[in-house]
Amino acid sequence: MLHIQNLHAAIDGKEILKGINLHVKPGEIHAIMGPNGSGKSTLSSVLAGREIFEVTQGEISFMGKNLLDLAPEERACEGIFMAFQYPVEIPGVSMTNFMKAAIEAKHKYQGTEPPSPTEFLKKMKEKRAMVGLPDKLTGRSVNEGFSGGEKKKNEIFQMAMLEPTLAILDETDSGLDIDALRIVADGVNQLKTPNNAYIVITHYQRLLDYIVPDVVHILFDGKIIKTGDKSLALELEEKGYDWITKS
Amino acid sequence: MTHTIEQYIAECGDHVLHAFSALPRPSKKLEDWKFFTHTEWFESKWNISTVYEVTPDFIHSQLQGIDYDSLVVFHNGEFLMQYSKISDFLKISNQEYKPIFESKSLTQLDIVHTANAKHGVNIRIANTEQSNHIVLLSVVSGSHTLCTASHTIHVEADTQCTITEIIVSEANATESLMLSGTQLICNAGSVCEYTSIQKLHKTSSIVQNIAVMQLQETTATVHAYPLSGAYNRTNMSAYKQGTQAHTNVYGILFPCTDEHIELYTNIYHNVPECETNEQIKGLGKDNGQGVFSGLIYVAKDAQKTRAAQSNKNILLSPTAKIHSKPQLEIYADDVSCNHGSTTGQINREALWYMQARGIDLHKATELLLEGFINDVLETMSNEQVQAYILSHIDTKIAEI
Repeated sequence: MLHIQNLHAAIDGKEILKGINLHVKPGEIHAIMGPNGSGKSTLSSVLAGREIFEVTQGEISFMGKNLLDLAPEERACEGIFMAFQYPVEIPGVSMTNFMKAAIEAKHKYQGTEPPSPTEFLKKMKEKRAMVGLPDKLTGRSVNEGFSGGEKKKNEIFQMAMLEPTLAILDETDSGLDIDALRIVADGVNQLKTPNNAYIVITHYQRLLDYIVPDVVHILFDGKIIKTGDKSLALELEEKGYDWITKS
Repeated sequence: MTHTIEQYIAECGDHVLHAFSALPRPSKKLEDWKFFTHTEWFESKWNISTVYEVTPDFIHSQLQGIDYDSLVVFHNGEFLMQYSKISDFLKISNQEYKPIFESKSLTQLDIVHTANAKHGVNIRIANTEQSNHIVLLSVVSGSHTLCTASHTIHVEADTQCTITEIIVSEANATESLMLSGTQLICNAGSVCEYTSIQKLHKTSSIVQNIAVMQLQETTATVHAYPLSGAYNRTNMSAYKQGTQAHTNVYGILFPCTDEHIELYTNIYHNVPECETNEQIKGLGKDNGQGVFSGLIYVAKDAQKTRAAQSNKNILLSPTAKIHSKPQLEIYADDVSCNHGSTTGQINREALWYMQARGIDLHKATELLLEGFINDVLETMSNEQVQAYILSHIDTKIAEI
């Protein structure tokens, strides 16, 4: 599904990613762990297409298409979803209008009929219930006045609405209490199918108790320095990053 | 036959010419006119009494689905009874126009505004059980036309009403100038929502004076929508003459290519226990230029005044300009007043967030800008008028 080959990316001339190789198959959950500044968030931004990052070398193919040729909105319509580490507040734009625009854009891109207003609202209600997002929040402006936990739940809610093929969760666990973490993880587990895949970026092993990864990668200084199964995350939790970066 | 402004004034009588000569011309030298550049108005030759026809079709096309209880139509300043619909609750007369308040900073333009006593009407809105919607539609026709009209609207005691004044120019009204004035007298206990919309040819200009006098226990809400025009200026003043007089002022400025749009507001609190809430938003595109200058004046005796003023602007291009001058002048010591002004660019983070959800940049910009102006637009109670305004603003947004 996703093939990343020798990916190098820079911001303002400073190289952050220094040769990433990553292959994700349908149905897999990959966890990417690493200390602060290792390039985890840069990797997710590059995959989503943030233009401030310059890809200097390497290739990314997604479902057989060259991802680097696509604009961010095209990537989203192709089925890539990034849950933001810091979801953005958009004053004046209601959650309903925002979601409606996103769903309509996806259908337009795929050349399919968008859902009727009734179907759309029904889906909103259903997915909101799934992630435990209070009703009142959908009438408000996007992320405005949401608590930290509500913002993260809102990311999972949007993911549930857009039904991506590849979802990248960028430190979705940061700032979440244990109950919210469980709700977010339950959402992800419910949305998992044999046809979609997840890349879960996290600092801590904690999230991986709830979202069990098939593969764990350790990112350090812009490179994946170790890959293993879920036991790698546990080992890392026990020994700390020094264990791996100094060896 | 064409006239210069001075020739026209001379024809209106010696006393008018005398008053005109005693006042300064608007120019950069005057603080309130520092961004005004159209000094050529005073040298130009204007068509003043040329007769043009206006068709009922044109009039109805301009109302675009706005329902009304009464319609008052003007053409180049003249009242057109045959196209108007005057209901029982409305009394129209040609009583002479008298300013309800003597402004300290008059210019020669103010004399031109009222020089033709025949242009403009006196409207009295009586109290009925329901809230009535009165539409004033003023059409400007013909190239290089100079037209004036000054109206006084009396809202009788305890009356609730909505007034929408639309000034439009026909396609042939190139390089025309409209000098229009509307005074609103809100008698005790009345609640009045007045919306001023100007939609002019891109080469035409307007100076619109709006003066509101409020007696006790009144609420006057003024919505200012100078939608288009080469130079489109609104001078809005409110004078509170009785306690518990509340004023709301809302407006949106959106100067685009070659447009210069100015909104000057002066709210005078002369008596205690009154409230003002003012919220103005600005969007600037291309070389568009906007000005918001708002004064809230609180006299020594106006204790317990509550006033808030906010002006927020977004510049959409490096050449667009919006000048913002929020002002509070307070002489009372027991008041709660605040004001704020911000000018910035479109929120790039929000655009990126929307793109990451599949929304293209154009649609994302549209959503953001509509969101930006929404809280101001939504204060309007008449949804038809709101939709009318939004469709014009949307056209400008769509061109970004």
